[in-house]
Amino acid sequence: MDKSQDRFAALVHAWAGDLHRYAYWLCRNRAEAEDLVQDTFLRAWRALGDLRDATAAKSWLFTILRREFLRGLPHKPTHDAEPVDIPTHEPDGIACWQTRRALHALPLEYREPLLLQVLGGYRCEEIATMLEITPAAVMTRLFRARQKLREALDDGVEAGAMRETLCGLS
Amino acid sequence: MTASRRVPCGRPFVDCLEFRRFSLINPSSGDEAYLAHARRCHSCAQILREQERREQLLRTAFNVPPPVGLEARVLLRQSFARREWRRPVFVAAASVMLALTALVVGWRTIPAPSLADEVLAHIREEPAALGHTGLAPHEKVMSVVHALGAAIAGDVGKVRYAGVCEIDRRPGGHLVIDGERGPVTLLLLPGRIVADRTVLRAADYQGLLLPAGNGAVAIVGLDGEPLDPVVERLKLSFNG
Repeated sequence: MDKSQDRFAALVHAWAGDLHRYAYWLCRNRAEAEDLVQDTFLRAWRALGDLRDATAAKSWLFTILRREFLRGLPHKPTHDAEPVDIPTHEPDGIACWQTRRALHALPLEYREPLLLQVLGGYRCEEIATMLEITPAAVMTRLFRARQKLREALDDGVEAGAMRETLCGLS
Repeated sequence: MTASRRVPCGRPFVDCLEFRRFSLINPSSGDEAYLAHARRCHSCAQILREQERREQLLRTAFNVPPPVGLEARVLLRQSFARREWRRPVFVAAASVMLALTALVVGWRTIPAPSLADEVLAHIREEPAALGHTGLAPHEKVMSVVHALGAAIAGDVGKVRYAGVCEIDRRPGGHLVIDGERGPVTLLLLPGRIVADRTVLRAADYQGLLLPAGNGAVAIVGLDGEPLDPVVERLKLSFNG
């Protein structure tokens, strides 16, 4: 294996999982998320020479993935009318599932900075650079994101789904 | 309330209002002024604990597991791209190989199972649920139904088993009640689209899959089990 192939494989092993999580929460669909990750790594492979600093790899990959996502956005049908594709994992419990459902319903402009902060571990200034908005706008969006999530979870909006299901039994 | 003051660097000490605002912006930052305020203010300390709980839940929620084999598939695709990059001749061969593979795989692909298939498969995969002889604790039944955002207002019958299960990759409620001929399984399936009342048939089972509001309900019993009375009882119980 040549040196660039070693570097590429190391990137894949180090960041594929995080990239997939980022992709999933951008597009909210597991199959599309994998396609996004594949396309991202393919672009990364072709531009591997541009990556000079290993510590910048994660941000570099996240940026490529985000561009890929935005590139496909105008051609993508909305998922709002489709069944929600929420991964479940028994040990995570119902509270986690409800949180995922609330995150699904959160508009992208709020979901993305929250994702970058909580999952990516990025600071507000870094998120601002990635999203090409001001740090103040990032803080506003983070504030509203958590506020909306709290409202959705506390008011039981999500929980209403099953109640409607059962009361509409025909 | 702690008054807002200025520290030498010009950054304000956190007061209660700012603390609460900050708790929604960057609660895990470890900011010393933020944490120091919580140490001094009892009500904000409670907010801090609650926000920490929410953040932990958020981290777990965001942390969806990547699909098995993702890294291998990325490397596989890249290996083809690498050949394309370096040796165009290889591309033709790889494309032919991929096309042939797709043709063979496509030909052998089994169509995605329907919700009816998933329902029957789920019941087969959890035979233990049908074997419970004691009554499921009332609290357990209520917690399962509550977890799905519903409430039981009437008598559904004797519930032998209650659990939240993954059905067709999504959470659903799984209850087993007494029927006339044996256990009857109720699967509560929020968010699943079912156009019409569908009859389910398997070797020893029969059932119904019914549209219900913004989801579906499956009712499955042994062969010969009268299911319409169960449907009526459910309507009364959940509408009650």
